[in-house]
Amino acid sequence: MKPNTRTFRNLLYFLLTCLSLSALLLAGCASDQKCRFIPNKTIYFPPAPDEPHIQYLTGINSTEDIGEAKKQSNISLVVTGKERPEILKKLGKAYGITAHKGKLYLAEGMSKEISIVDPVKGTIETPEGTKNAKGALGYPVHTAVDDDGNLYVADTARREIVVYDAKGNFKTTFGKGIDPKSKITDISIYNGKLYALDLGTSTVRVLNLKTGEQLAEFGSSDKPNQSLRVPGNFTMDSKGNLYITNIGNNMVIKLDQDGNFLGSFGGLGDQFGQFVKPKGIALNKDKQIFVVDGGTNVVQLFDDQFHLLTYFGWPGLPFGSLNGPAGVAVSSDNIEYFQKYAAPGFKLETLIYVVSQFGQEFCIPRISVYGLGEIEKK
Amino acid sequence: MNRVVSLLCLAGCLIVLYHGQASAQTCSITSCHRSIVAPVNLHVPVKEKDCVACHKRINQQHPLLGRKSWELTAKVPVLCSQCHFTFGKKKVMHSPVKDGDCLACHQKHGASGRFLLDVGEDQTGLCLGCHDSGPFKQQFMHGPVAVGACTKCHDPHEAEEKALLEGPVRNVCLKCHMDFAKLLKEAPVVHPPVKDGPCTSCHNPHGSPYNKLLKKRMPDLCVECHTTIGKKLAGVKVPHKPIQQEGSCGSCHSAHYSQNKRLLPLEEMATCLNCHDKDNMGKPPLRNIKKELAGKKYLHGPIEKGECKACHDPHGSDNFRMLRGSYPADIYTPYKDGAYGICLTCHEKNLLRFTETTIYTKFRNGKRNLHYVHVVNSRKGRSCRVCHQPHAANGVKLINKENMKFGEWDLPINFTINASGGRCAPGCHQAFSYDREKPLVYKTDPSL
Repeated sequence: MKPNTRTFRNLLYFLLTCLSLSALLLAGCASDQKCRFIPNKTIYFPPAPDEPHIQYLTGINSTEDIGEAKKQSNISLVVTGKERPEILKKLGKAYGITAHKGKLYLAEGMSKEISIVDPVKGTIETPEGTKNAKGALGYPVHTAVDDDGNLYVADTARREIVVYDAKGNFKTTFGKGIDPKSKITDISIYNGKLYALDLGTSTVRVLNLKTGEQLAEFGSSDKPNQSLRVPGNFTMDSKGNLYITNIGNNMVIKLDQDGNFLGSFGGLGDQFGQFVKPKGIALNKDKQIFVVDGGTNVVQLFDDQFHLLTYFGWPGLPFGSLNGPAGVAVSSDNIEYFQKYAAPGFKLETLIYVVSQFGQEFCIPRISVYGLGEIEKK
Repeated sequence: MNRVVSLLCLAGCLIVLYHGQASAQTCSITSCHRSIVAPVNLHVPVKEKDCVACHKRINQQHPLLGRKSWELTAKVPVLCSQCHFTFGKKKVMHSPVKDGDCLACHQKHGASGRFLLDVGEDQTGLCLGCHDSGPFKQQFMHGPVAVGACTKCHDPHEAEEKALLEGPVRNVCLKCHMDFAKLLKEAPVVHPPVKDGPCTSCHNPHGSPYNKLLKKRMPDLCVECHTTIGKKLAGVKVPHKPIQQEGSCGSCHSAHYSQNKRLLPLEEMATCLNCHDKDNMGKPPLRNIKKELAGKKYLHGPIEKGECKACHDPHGSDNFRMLRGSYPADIYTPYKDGAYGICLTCHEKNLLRFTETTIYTKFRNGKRNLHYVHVVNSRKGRSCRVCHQPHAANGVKLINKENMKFGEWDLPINFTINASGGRCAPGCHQAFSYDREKPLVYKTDPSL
C-alpha cells in the first residue's frame, strides 16, 4: 500500500469519525428542542376578563417532566452508551388514570403496561408482576387501588381484572367467565367492594374485594333513560353513589350503590352541558363533577346539582389543549409540588390530571395537569 | 338762714321720696289697677311695687282720658331682656319665643302658676291653646302627657333637639325610664332600633290608640321593618294565632331586649311550652306538648336541642301544624312525591324512593324497603305518625310505645327491635318479623 493512500484513508476515517460525533452532538441539541409543557404565559380557564378558576399547570410525558430538575445529556449517552432508565422512562398511550396517595396509575393499553407515576419523586415504575406470564397484561384500561395498596387492573384483552399486591407482585384475577359478553372498562373500590363497570353488558358488577365473588349486578331498569347505555367510565362519591358516563346516550347517570336511579344529566350535542363522547369522570371533595368529552376535547365541570360550572382544555391553545382526552383523575395530594407551576397568587385546591390519547406530535402531553383554585384575596 | 335752707332741702327730698312711693302704691292700691296684684304669683317688679321698672310716665296727668300717660320703657321682648336672659342661641326655638311674643304664654304682672303662667302642674290648657289637641286625646296616653307635664320632655323656649326636646329622644326617655335603661345595658340581646335608634321609631310619645303607645298596632308596626315576615303573614294558610291576637308579636318576643336569642322572653322551647302546656287550648284542643315530653325516654333530635322551629315555623306556614315543609294532615293519605318534605329535610331523602335498598333504611326485610311498603301507597299510605311520635316517645326510633289514637281505639304498635331486624304486632296487621341479613319469607303477603 502506498503511503499516500494510507494517509488518505486515515484522513477519511478521521473525518468520518468527526462527522459521526458531530451528528450525535447535533442530535443532542435537536432533542433540546423537545416539547415544552410548562407554558411561558399563564393559561387560565375561563380566560380573562372572567375570574379564573382553573389553570393549566404542566404536562407529563416522561420522568424528565417530573421530580427535581434532571436531564441526561447526549454526551453522557455517547459516553455511557445507555439511557439511565430512572430518568428516561416514558409514558405510552394510555386511557384510564387513577390518583391514589400522591401517585398516578396510568393504564397503557397499547404498551400493555401500568405506569405508576410519582410526580414528587420523579419516578415512573411498572409493577413487577406484569413482567411474568400470569401477571402480563393484554390491554389494561383502568386501575383501582385499595387501602392496603393492592392494585386492581381492568384488562379488556384478558377480559378480567388482574390483581397485584402492594409490592407489585401478581396476586389473582377476578371476573373471568362471569359473562361471555363482559368487558370491564372501569373499576372502583368502595366499602370493601369492587365496583366494575361492564361495557359489554351495560351493567355494574359488584364484587367481593377479597374473593372476587359477584355480589350484585345492576344498571338496567324498565325505564330506558334510567338504564346504562354503553357505559364507559364511572366514579364514586363518599356515599357510594356512582356517576357513570354513557356513550350510548351521552348522559351521565347517577345511581346509588344498590343501583337505584338518582338522577342524570347531559345529552348528545356540543353545547354547554352536552356531550359527544363522554369518557372519564371524576369527583373532588366538593362533589364537583369533572366529565371528559372525547368528542369535543374538553372537560366540563358540574356542581353536585348537575349545573355546569365551567369547562377547559379546548383545542387551539398555546398550552393546555387536550387531544382525544379519555381518563381523568382529581386529587388534593401533591398540591405543594405543583403549586410552583401556578401563577403568583393563584392558590391550588385540587389537581386535575387528564389523559390525552393523541396529539403527542403536536406536543400535547400524555397527562395534562390542571389546577382548580382561586386567586388569593389580598 | 342756713337752718332755713337745710329745712327746705330736707322738705324737698321728703316730697320727692313721698311722691315716688306714692305713685307706685297708687297704681296697685287704687281701684284702678288693683287686679294687677291679685294673682298669687307676681312678677318680681310688681311684687316690689316697682312699676317704673317697666313703665315710664309720658304725661303728668294720669289718668288721662283717651290717651296714655304711661308707656312701657321698651317693647317686648326687649323689655323682658332687660332683666331676663335672651334666647336664640340654640337650634330650635319655640315659635312665640322666636317671634318675641313672651306674653303668648306668660302673664306680665302675675299669674296663678309659676313662671307667670296661668296654669298649674297641668300645662295642657296652656299648650293646647295653640297645639292641636288630637294626639293628646288618645285611648292610651303617655304619663307626662296625661298629667299635662309637657315641660318634662320639652323646653318651652329653645332646644338643640327637634320638637324642643331637652335632649336626644332616647336620653329624654331614659331620664325617667331608668329601670329600663339599666336592664337594657345589661341585656345580651337588644332590638336594634332600641339599641341605636330613637324610641319614637315604634312609640308615639304623646298618646296612641294602641297599647304601649305604639305608632301602629302589631304586627303592622313590626312588619314595617320585618318585611319578609310581613309578606309571609299576609298570605299564610296556617297562621300562628297569637300573632293575630292582642299580644301579637309581643306574645313571643320582647320588643326591647332579652336574655335570649331572637328577643324571646325565655329559651326557645320554654317560650313555646309557656303556652303549649295546656289541655284545652284551641278547638279542637291542641296537644299538651309539655305533658307529652315529660319523662319520655327518647326525644326527637330538634326537641333534644330545644329547637321547635326546626320543624315548625312560629310565624305560620302553608302546611299542616305550621310545619316548615309538607306533611299530610290525615294519618291515611294517598302517597305523592314530596308529601313528607318536612321529615325528609333531615332524614334520608331517598327513604321513600325505592322498593329495594341496602342503604337508606334499616327497616327492611333483606333489601325490601318496609318504609316504602307502609308509606308509598297511592290509595292508603300511612303517615309517619302512625308509627312514630314527632316529639317524644318511650320507644326507640320514637316508635309509639304507648298506643296510637285511632278514633276511639288506642291502637297498639307492639314493635320490638333486634340486631338485624325486628318484629311488629300492631293493631293494623298480624305480627310480622323482618331481617336485613336473612330476609324472611312470609306465608301471607304482608303488602299493605
